[in-house]
Amino acid sequence: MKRRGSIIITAVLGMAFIGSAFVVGYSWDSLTNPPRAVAELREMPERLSLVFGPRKDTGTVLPTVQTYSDAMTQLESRHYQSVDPIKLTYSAISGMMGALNDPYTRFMPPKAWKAMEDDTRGDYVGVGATLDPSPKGAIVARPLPNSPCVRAGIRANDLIVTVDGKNVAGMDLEEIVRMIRGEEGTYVTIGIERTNNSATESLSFKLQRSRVDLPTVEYRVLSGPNKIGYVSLLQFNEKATTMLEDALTELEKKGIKGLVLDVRDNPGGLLTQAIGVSSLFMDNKSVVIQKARDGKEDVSFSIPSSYKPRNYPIAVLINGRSASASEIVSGALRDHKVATLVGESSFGKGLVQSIFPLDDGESISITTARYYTPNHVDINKHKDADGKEIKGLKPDVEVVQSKDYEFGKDETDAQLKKAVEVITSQIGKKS
Amino acid sequence: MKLKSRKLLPLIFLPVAAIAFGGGFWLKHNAVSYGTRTVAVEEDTMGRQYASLKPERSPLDTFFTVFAHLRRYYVDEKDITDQTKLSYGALRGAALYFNDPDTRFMEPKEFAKYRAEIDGTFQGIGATVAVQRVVDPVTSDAMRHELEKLLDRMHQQGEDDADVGITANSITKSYLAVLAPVPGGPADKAGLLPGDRIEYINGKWVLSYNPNLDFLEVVTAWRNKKITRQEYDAAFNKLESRVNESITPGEALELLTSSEKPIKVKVRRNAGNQLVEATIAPGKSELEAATWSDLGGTGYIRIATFSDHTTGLVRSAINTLQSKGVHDFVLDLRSNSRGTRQTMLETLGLFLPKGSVAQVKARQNVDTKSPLTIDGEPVAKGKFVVLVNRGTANLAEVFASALKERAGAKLVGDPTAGDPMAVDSYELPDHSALIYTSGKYFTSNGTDFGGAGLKPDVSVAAGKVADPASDPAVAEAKKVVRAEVTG
Repeated sequence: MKRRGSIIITAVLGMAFIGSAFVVGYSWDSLTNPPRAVAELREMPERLSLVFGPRKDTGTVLPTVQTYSDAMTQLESRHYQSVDPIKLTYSAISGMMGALNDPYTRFMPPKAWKAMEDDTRGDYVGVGATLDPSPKGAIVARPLPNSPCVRAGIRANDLIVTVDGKNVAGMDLEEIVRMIRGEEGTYVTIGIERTNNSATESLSFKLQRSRVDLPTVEYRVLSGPNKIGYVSLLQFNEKATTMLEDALTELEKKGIKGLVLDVRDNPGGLLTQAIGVSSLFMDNKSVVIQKARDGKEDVSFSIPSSYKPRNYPIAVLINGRSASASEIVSGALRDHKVATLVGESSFGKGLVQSIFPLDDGESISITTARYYTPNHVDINKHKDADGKEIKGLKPDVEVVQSKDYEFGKDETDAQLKKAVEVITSQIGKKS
Repeated sequence: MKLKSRKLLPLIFLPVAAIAFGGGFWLKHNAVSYGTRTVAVEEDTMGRQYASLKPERSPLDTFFTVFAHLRRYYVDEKDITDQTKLSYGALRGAALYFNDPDTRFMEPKEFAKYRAEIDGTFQGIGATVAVQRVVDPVTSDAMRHELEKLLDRMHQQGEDDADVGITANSITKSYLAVLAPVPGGPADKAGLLPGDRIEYINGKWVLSYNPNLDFLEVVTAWRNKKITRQEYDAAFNKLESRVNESITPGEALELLTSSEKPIKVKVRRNAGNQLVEATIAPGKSELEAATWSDLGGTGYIRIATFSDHTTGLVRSAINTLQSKGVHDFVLDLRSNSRGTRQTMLETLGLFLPKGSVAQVKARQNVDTKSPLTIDGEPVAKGKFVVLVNRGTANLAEVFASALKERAGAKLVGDPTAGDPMAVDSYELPDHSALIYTSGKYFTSNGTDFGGAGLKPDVSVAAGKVADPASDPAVAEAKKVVRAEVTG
């Protein structure tokens, strides 16, 4: 069974939605000043002909608002089923937005929005692990340091098959997470199947739920002859830049000769932090370009005061779950020749959304701009030299993860090994 | 995920996708960054900002607002300037609201095909194809429990269970089925019969219902220790690969009506256990609206569709046959599944005196039914027998039931399709159209023939329409009408 991509269960961590927080843009302008177009449209239907032209002159073009308005009248009066005009309209809006074929441009019904809000409020805590989906339950992808999980001895690749005695096969990951979560201090019993070589053992752990923060930064000097520093950046939260800077300072004190910056599985976060992180490596250079509808480029530059020369080769590790802010940093560091990208092609989340609230708690999300790297590579998708369409950023050195990779065991990490190899070959060439 | 041609694909796939998407990018709505215009906004401050944008609006205003926002802000201007595309999307979405196979949006090409079928011209496999909905009751408590949990989860996601055909007590499955093959057309030549459920096309499963339900069944069986772990793994993996390689009913329909290459299908006949395989060589086929012959004193008139030509052809057939002294008729309504109500009533008027021929209910939740009437004097005089099969659908069922109830005509053949929904079309200036359910037919004495169809008075296998001179079903029908005359 192939894995379908890790979902970082931040809810387990009591920190809501870090794992799912891509960089979301808001057009402040649009929130405070209702667009003039809308104001004009409010005077409908008298203004219809002014805005959309006279009805008879449309030829084969179907003016959207007019067409929908007519169709709704027809369906309300003639359809066998009685019509709830609000729900009908929501459905039509979903359809209209769906016609654009952009998964991020979509309509969000009120209940879905509310459910997510309740989730984000989060007085729930968990046991401290990120999970991958599996038809047989859930796979522990990454037990977090100092979490109840780790203290009890749960390991990466353990298969969770029961929660409080209940079989969780076939459940959604979200549902399993909901079962694991609970109030701080309470207990949950987790049944595990662990496969060693070909033997499978069944284990049971009783864990006390507690608050666990997803670490922002983890760092160490890798074992090996060359003193290569390793920093893993797990999220772009408010502390990301500061913590990464501290980590670099510590590593440099130890005299590292190269650096691996690991943003694998990092789903992104705040754009300001993407700029902050890039600024640690680049002196007053462009980090990312946002291009909106009008084609106008909005270039974000690195912050000169953050910059410190890093006189050692750097490799950035990326994979298919490095998204958004991770891609911005990777793109900037590569384009300005600060780092080599190693790993697998990144996720390709180079779209900026604005969220507009509507009436009864429903809202719409519209893709309003695209992210480009400093060299104008569209992060979302672009064509390579052969005209092949590429999603995300392609690494300079491509290497797939080894099958028996286990989190925390460097010797099983083929991508890290490759990054070290790349850096080693560069040591001494850069001053 | 979002919207493909989902005419046949009920909304059941939405919740799955919504769950998959849950926890997406838009959740972090209280963190704000937009280039240099970054603003940190507290949630409640945001709420107030929102509130200031919330005047009382009609649903149409909401639609305008969304449209205006798209026009103004969406990143790719060229995608937004095509208003027709947005209109199609909106109408497709509006049609999906009804969760009704007969309510759907058709682009001009599709609507042209639909109208050509009424006139008797078919592309592809040469058969009308329809969605059959079957409600399976849930019998096991374990399954009921799982379904309740599933519904719970959907409610939390803001999804409506009405959309997915699931309740704790029943599961509605939709199948793509051959309704009526054109006699002598590709599907007919390949041996397909009315009512055959198309389950595989070119080796791919037709995803006609929520596959999660199948997964749920397997999981439930394992949880309740009905199957072993190995059996569970095997069943699960099999289901998964079947789903991964499936095609949607929309794609299937497109393939069936426009492919020029041979199509391999596997169909389930009479809900049996065996799948029947067939290879269809697609091509254009024509249905003659009406044909007739003289079966040694008994008139045979076949009405294949209620198109513009039908009434005239049937009238001259009756006149010719009666001039030869015929006064008993076999009316063959097998595999008649298309037409206009107007033509059906005019044709029926050739056989029945004026009066009510059916009843129509215009609104689901209103009990009133109004009679559907014909006017004028009949042309045909004598005894009638009506030949029907599983492809006798909708208007043809009204026709057959009226002859039975008003003129005592016996029905001979298989049960009919059981499709009583009146369908109208709302054509747009570019010849795209919304097809929608506008009412429900009942027989003239108020019988509901939905689902089960009309039961034949004399049962005889009548799936395949053949040359009347050698068609055993026709021979049987003739026997019945002769017996009426002599008896």
